[in-house]
Amino acid sequence: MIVDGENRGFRQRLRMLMRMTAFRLTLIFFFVFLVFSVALVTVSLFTVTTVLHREARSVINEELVVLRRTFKRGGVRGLVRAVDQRSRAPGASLYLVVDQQGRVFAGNVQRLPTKVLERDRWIHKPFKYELLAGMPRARPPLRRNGSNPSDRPEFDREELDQSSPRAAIARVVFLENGLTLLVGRDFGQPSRFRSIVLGTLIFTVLSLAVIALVSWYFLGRRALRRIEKVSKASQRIVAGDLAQRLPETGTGDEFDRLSSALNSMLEKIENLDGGIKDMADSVAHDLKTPLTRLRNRAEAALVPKEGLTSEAYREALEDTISQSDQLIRIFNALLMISRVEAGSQAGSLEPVDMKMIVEDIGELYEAVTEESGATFDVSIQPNVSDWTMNGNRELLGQAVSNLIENALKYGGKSSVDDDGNVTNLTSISLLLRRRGAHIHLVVEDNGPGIPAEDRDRVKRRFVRLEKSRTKPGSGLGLSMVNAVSKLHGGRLVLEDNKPGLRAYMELPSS
Amino acid sequence: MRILLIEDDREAADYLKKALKESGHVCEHAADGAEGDTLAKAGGYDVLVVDRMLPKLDGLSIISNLRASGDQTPALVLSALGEVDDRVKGLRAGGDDYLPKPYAFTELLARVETLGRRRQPEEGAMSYEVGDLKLDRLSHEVTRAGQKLLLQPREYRLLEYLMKNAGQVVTRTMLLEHVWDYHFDPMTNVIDVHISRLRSKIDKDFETPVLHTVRGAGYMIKA
Repeated sequence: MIVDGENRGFRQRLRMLMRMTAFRLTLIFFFVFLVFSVALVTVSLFTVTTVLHREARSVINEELVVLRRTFKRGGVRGLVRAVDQRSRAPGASLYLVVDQQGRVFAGNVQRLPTKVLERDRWIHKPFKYELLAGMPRARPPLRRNGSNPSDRPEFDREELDQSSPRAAIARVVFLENGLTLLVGRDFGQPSRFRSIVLGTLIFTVLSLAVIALVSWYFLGRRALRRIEKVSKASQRIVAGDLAQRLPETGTGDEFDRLSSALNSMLEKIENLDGGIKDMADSVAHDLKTPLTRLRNRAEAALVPKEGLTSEAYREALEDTISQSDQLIRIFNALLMISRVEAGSQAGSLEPVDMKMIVEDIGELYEAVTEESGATFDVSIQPNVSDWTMNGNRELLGQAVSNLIENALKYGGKSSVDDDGNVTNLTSISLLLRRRGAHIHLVVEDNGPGIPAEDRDRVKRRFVRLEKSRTKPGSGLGLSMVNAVSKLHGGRLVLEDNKPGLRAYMELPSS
Repeated sequence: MRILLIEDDREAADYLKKALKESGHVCEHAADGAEGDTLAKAGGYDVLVVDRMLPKLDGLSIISNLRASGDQTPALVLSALGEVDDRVKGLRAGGDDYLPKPYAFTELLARVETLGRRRQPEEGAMSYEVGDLKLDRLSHEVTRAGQKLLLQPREYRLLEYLMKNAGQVVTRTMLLEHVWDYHFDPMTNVIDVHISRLRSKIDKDFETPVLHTVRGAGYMIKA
């Protein structure tokens, strides 16, 4: 049971390890490097062998030339002497001179496969042989010059290991008088060759494993620790802490760029979230107030009172309906502002004639402003022929109407004469003008205006200045105009009209 | 008028059914999209009142299905969405009018009755007559008791729309929609002022008024 549990735990840990990108990458690199190094080792060993073979052959060829010449000049006796001499020299090649009966005339080879001497030929495939005792050993081809024996004990040990057979390649030449001459070069012990290859491979694999471990440490433990930090921070953000930011080291690498991109995204989300919270607060406040009023009136109508006529009930009911209409208005305006702000209407922009909008809305409001005693003046900048721009006619029309209603409501100015007669001196002008690449849709009044320090604030939802609190309104008019201006890539500008307010939408004309 | 109401909110539907019946109409009710689709296809209605968001089949699909089969029964789309784009979508799907929720019943009634009327022959008439008030749509000439009245272009259009729907309540938003082609809800009494100007021209010098104010609803031209 315990073993099983441990086993499962190990397997689980292994699976987790495998899930780590760094570990997988390291493993992949490790295997790729392994394949390449094995190939590299094989190829270089093959090349080295080929070169050694070639060198050995050319040495053999040179020796043969000399020995043939000696044989030609000095006959068998000369050849035997020369071979004997060479056999005793340090670093000697292999020599053997035999007759047809197999009697050895000269040479340093004690034993070799009989097949070797059968024909006049090259023997490229190394064959095993034994030297005559006391003969100097041939220099092994793979031994490095000047290497200290203590550095590579296995080489020396093998060199001293006389019992293990050595291999050689050779050229067998049949001489004219029935003698056979063999000249060969030692190729060391085949087992030693194998162990060199094996050693190289083991060394390669081990060093690769070390490299893989080190790179895993750097990738997995260092770089991925940063990703881990990022995901930890993200979890905290998901848990609700929007003020969290992802770590940035300032190196400007990929991780840093990712972090900073995510951070600016978070910034935006935090702002939006703040906006939503603000909005929720103001909705709670600004919708609860009229709701409370609505409820109070309905309640008051229900309280039994002397002489309450059906007419009074009717009035109370009509009152509640108009209160709820006001609520619906606020709600619709809020919805519209958030949808305009979210840009969901941006797709519906199409060429609209601003002149038409100004004329239509101007005409719509002209009657009501004049009725209230105000002067209303619509003017369109002359000598401009084209007033088309990409826009949403409905939204622009509503924005202009909001500005005019604002001017009507808050831009008022009246005077009371000696007899107590009130004269409305409000003067509102609606004008359309072109300023460079922009179209300005201006509404001016001569009322109290908006103090400079409040001009940004009033664009926000539900913000109403103290002076206007007594008048009906929702505080959404200007934020709607602001949202519509932004939707069209423009802005709402509030200025001092000296006296009064000049509000204009600055909209890009193309 | 035979009205098919397709609305999934039981309470709203009951209220509408009752109120429409009290206004003298026959009202049938379907509580979901599929039922509404079947009933609408069966035909025989003068007006369809269709909620946009319905279980099983949404309101706009019902209307576009009908239009695809050549049925032109006028349809009023009700929607909680109610913004500019939604209105466009509703009308594009074949709806004839669009009313955002929440609405006043008088508004709905006025629109339903206008829609029901649309099928009647006077739609394409060349002139309208209400009592001694005459409006010639070709010459744009308006006379009352043979006396020529001088109207501004907008006043003419206002009167034309009112006379086209003579005997019927026309709400302020309907006037803003059809005469000015805007769909927002002006906070001040802009429409009332235009009406009173029109009234001063067509009613002031005559004994019997033809342009009536319907309290809590809108206006009506009636002899």
